[in-house]
Amino acid sequence: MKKAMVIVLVMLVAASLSWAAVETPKKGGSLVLCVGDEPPGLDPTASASAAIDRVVYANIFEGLVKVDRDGKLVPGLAAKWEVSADAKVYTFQLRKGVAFHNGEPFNAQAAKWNLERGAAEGTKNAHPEFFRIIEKIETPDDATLRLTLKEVDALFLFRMAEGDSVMLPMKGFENTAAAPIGTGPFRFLEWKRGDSVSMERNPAYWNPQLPYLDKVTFRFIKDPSAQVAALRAGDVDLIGWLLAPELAKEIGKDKRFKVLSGASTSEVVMSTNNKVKPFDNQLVRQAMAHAIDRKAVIELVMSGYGTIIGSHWPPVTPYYKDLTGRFPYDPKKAKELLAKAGYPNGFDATIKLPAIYPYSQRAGEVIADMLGQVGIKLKIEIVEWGFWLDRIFKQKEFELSMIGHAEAWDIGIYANPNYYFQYDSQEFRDAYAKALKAATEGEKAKWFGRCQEIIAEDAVNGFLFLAPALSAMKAELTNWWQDYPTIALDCTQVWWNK
Amino acid sequence: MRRFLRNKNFTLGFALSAAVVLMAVVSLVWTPYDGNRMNARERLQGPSWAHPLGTDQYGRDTLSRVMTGAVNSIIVGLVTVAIGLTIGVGLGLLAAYRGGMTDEAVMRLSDLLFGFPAVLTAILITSILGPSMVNAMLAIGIFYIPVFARLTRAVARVVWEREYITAARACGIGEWAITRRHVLPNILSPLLIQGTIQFAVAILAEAGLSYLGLGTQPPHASWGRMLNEAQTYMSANPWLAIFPGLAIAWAVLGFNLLGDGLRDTLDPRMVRMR
Repeated sequence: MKKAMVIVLVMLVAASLSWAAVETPKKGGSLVLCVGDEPPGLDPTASASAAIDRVVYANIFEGLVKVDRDGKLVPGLAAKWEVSADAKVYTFQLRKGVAFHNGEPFNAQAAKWNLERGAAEGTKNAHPEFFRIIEKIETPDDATLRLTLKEVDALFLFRMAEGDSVMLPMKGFENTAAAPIGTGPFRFLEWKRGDSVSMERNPAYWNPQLPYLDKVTFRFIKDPSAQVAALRAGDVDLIGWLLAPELAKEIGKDKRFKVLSGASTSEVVMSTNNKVKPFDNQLVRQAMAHAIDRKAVIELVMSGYGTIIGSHWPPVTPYYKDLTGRFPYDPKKAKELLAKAGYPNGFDATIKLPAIYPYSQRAGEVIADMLGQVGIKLKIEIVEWGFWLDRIFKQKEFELSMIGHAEAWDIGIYANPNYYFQYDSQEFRDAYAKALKAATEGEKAKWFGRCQEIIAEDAVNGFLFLAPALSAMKAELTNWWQDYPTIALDCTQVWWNK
Repeated sequence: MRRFLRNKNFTLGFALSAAVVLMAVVSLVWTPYDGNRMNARERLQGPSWAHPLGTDQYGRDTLSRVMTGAVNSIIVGLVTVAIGLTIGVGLGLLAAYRGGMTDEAVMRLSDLLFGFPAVLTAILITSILGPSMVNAMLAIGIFYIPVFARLTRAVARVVWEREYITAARACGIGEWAITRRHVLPNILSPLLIQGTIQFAVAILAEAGLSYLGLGTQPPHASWGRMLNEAQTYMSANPWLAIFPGLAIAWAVLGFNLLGDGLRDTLDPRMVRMR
């Protein structure tokens, strides 16, 4: 009798599970989601701002390839592609019958024009190097695009999946920053400055099954408490990037909502100016690395959400090397290293924190306390975002700062001695060059691993934690990305289960 | 003294503000914990014997921070009132005995300063000079100048009309000497009253600026900043906001009542009315 019951139960569970698996998404409905930062424009090919990608990438614009919710490369406007044996020739088969929202066709010529535009002299693209590596662009027919690279670039396909590489229409590109026209599942409706950007379903999308939603509105709400209040009041359906992790548990307790905590690609680091005394001394930087209790940082800053990192590489990205054990929390060791570096009594320094990001201010305060324990007295200066971009990022007038580096595959910034933290290492540049030219997976893993090791050993920046991808939404909202392996808030496959 | 103690406002105000001052003085030599020391294991605790006012999101002891925050508030109050008193009273006295163009100039300048909303201009000043406690004090202090200048001029002019001033003049005493010896001592009580009230206003203004991130900078404790930090934790951990909020209310109420009490007892007109 009991056995029979168990069997029935198992069958019931199995039935309900399989029913859930085949549950078909429902079409219709609109989504209002809120994000913290309003983008400075809507053209992802003309600015490095992550706020732009979060609104338009994969929603309005698409590139040849895409990164899916698991961080894997999947077809975008190219249905498939082949890479030659020497890893230099990429042949893309483009989707046929794809049109921009203004009716212009997307074909090999349009793709060629976009790639040339990115590489052109005086381009506004934040990453012209993505395109300048292309030596030759051939378009044998409307649906075939053949690219020959000057040299092997292990990250080329990932580069083509970035917001900087999306396809714009050849005729209708002029006004992209204000009224973008792309090929994506949603077409631009309206941008109410200071309030919201809205978009509607693109009925002519190349995948007739998608998207499920009729309308998507991105609302810009900066204050973390106001975000949560808006969610509770029903003004927004989803918070794409929960700024106050301390509120996550509480929202999760409310049956009307659910919270997803996944991985992002945003490494939060204590940026260190490697050209300024005493931070030009490797021993000082290593001492600081020993003085930081990363576990406590995550607890104090992010209410426990987030992942410890030991180098500038997200654990969700391929070729990750776990270096979190290199500098364990050890204040005694930190003091010894400081003494060895010639600062037995520590020193005074200033940390400049951008006011715009709560995590940055909090992490700054926590780090100041921890470094204070080993004699490094930090003065905290909270600065406006514009000031940060100008004085710290451009003019490099700083000693320490705190910021999340949101892009995936961005370890290359350490190969640029003019980047704001001014790290200058031939050893790293060599390893990075080798990694980029690696043709096999094994070689890639080896050299990208080496890159991570070198900067970890040099303690270039204070590597703290990977920001969690925290999103909070109404319980009926289905299929939202849990992890954010690329900078996007992709609404393509989201639907309402009600 | 008995006259003071008979006044309820004064007694209550004195008791409340004395408690704040006492708390500040004690915190200079002793606090239960180091108010800036973080502790991951003791974060967001409710009030307990170990932490009477609980701990904040960094595990810092709230009581210790409220105590050091009192020092902060008192310094702000003292410095801003001092700025207002020295410059404002000087200008007011000058306007009162010179009259004419000087008087006009000082008063119109005061009107001009009064024309701007105080808090907005304080925000403007701190955003130009950069957020810090010193700049916040400067911003508030500048606003106190016309307050004291006007008051001083008004009461000083009344004194200048008195017969003993005419007598002093007849004796050939110079205008500055009269101001110093006869005018100033006779206008001290309204200045004292006004000073006490402005002290309370300064505490509130500093809390406001710090709440907006324009005043005291972390990690230093300031009641306004504590309120700001408590904001996102408030629904789950209300005491984080309650205690600094109470401290602000307590101090502002205390110094306001003290000012009222002083006015009731010192202002001769009020005494006559009783």
